[in-house]
Amino acid sequence: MRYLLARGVAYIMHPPWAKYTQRALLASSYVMMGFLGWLIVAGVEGAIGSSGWVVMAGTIVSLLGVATRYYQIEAIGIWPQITGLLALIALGALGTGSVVVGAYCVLLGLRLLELNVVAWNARTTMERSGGAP
Amino acid sequence: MTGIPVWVQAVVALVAAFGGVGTMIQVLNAYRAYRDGVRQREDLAEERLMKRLEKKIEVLEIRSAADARYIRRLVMALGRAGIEIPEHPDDAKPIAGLPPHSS
Repeated sequence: MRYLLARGVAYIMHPPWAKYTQRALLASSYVMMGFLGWLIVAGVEGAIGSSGWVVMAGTIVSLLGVATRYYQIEAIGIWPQITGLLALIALGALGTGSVVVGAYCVLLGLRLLELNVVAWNARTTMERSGGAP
Repeated sequence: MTGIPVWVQAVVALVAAFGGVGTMIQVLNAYRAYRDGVRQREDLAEERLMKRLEKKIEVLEIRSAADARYIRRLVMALGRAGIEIPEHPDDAKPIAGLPPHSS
């Protein structure tokens, strides 16, 4: 393929039910994580509150990526989410919930890996077809 | 970060550094992908234009060859009828770089 669009590759396109389900699941996970960030920001100050801001910022960026189907933007937002959540775990702000959030961090890492593989595939395919220098 | 143990502060700093560097690399990669995408779109547009122009030139060449064949037949018919063939208007005012029609 001579030209690869920078979107629509990392997201299910067919069948339609899977396409919309995936979009809804991704969006709801980021919305819920953003809500967690907001709860932390609203309730705690200092380093823990700052981590909440970082998580919230990340979820907004990722939501933007999911809404526009620009997976690169989604990937950019995942990094602050992981960072903020790991910082929250390290600061002991989540108590026993740290395990659950830690598991979510692992899943976010998986999604990040997947998106980066998609980006890498797009780049190598583009270079092989002689489209990019 | 008062009241937080030093080792926790160190871990948080490490996590922040890891996240910051990761985000920066990701942004850089996204920018590079965007740049390549733009370049590809430009290349593709240029390629399409060239293809269209080539097709148009081909059509013009075919048409001009058909016109030339028809004019040759007209000239021969005029000559057979004994009618004097007028000079090509371009020969009176030659175009620079082009040979005259009579040559």
